[in-house]
Amino acid sequence: MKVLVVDDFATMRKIVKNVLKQINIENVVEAENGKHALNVLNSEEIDLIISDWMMPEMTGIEFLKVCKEDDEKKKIPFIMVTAEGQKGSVMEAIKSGVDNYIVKPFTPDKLKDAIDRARTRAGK
Amino acid sequence: MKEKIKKDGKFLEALKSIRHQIDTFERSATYRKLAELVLVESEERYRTLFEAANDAILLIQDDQIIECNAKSLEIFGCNKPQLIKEYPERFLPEYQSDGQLSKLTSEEKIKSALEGVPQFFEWKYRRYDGMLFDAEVSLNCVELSGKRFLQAIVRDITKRKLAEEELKRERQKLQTLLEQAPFGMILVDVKGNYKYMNPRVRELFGYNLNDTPNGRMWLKKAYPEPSYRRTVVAAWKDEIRKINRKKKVPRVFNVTSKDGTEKIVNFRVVQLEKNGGYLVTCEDITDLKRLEDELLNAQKLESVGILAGGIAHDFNNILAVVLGNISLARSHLNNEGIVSDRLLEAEKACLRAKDLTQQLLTFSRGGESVKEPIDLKDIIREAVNSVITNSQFECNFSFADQLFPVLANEREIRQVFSSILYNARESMPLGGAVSISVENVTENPKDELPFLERDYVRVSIKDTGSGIPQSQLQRIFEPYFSTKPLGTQKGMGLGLAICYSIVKKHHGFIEVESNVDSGTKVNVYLPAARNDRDMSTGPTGI
Repeated sequence: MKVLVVDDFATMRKIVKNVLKQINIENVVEAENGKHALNVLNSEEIDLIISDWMMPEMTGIEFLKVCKEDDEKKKIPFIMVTAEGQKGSVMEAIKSGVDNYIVKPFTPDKLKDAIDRARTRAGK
Repeated sequence: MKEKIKKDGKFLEALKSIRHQIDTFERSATYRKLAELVLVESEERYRTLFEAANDAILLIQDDQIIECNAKSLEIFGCNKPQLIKEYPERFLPEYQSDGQLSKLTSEEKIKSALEGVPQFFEWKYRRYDGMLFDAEVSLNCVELSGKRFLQAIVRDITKRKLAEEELKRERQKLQTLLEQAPFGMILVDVKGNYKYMNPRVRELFGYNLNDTPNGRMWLKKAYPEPSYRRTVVAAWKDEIRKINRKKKVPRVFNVTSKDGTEKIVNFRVVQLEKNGGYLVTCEDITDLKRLEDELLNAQKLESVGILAGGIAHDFNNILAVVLGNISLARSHLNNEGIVSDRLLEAEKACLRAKDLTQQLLTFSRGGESVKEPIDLKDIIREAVNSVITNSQFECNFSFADQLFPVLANEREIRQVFSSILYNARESMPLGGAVSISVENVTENPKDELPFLERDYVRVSIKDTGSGIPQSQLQRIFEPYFSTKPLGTQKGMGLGLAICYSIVKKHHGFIEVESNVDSGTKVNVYLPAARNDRDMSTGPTGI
């Protein structure tokens, strides 16, 4: 299983990577923003996307919308990470077709749980 | 001596001569003319007095008018031939204002006057043309040339009556104003005695003039607490000193009513006239104050929310890094040992900080939560199970049959009940009982509650704890207000403020009744989800 972790903050990417390692997912590709992530998606086969919301150049929600409008990319389970905790932003992500979301800060258990549910929902 | 007699004889002779001359003069035409002149002059004087009188003067003999003056003709609206020889009854309406037959009363009065008892009374007359007028009448018996006449003096008082009636109407208008005024009015004389209280005063405070006959008694009863009373007295003294200033500043005091309830009252005082006492008006502004406080509270909560919203994003990002690293560090230690234990504590603190930002965010206006029709029974039971874990507490439930579902966000509503139950637990350190009753409310139980035209479900949570003093009861929904020690893990002062905010967002309301030592009762009213729109499920998340 190959996971794409998108976050402009390197430490955050590292944390997510380490949590994934704990659940035996070691095949991780990193991207700094939505634009960068789209390039990765075009060149590599990805099984799960975990993306931050607030990023320069292309935000998480913009990236999500592009993915969900693409016949191929929309099949990949998408988990949105948000620090807002506001229902409004979560609702926007839900309407755009996100498969699950997780609110920062989170414990490894929460992330694991979110991954499981997103994969079930996306049928993977 | 002889000489003297002689002289006297001459004197008498002289006298006789003078007498003769006088007699001759009296018999002369000159004298008669002079005497006639005097008589005519005197008669004319009386005639002028009679005719120029400003009242009608009538002479009546044997029930007939035999003489009248000019004013009589003016008052009765006729000429002399129409009046003379006429019976006085011709000028009377059938009935007087008191409902008595004019003829009957008139006969009695005339009889009395002729017997020598002068009569003075108010009377209704009818002019020649039939129009009625009011008069003041004086009846007297007079004797002229040995004959007895009835003298009637009639004064037209129509104008005076009209003025009196106008005055009466004005007085009645004023009375209605006083009686119907939406604010209380008290008339106080210069000595401080209460002369009048309008019904609104009794309605507001329950006191009447017997309860509070003067300022001293009022002060004693309305402000039973001595130190507060001193403040009020000082304020009034100041007010009286500045009574003549143009701009009136209302004085606001907390008045204790006869039934013990406290009301916030706006007082104004005006001096009626020099040494004429004062008019004190009082207006109950308790509800207004409550609304103002509520608004202020809502604004405070909103500002907390705005602040929280502003920092939540960055704060959570930072916390994410802290928490993530702690979690990773623990995993490196295989979650074992003292260091791992310390890290676990740090991890818990991070999660509490996260909860706090989440709670503060509920204050902000935005972020309307998703509401669905939910059954309160399970949520309440769950909240009780998570908060009341100790066997020291007894818990009684009373759920009414066929409870309406409520339109609510489950997570938020659970937080409301958890907070209330948490407070109940804290107020009973030695244990106690919590009684929870849930029922449908289809009618406004108290008029003061801002009920909308819809049904509610009321959840009452009553504890047997220490209660909240009345002085603090008004402040319990303020953010950062706590009856518990501040700054400790026990009291942030946000629990009830958050409850208030959540319930408000659900278009419900929350009220607290409490007495020191007998415990606290919190009533939460939530709108029932009863119509089709309410019942359709909204977005349910993932």
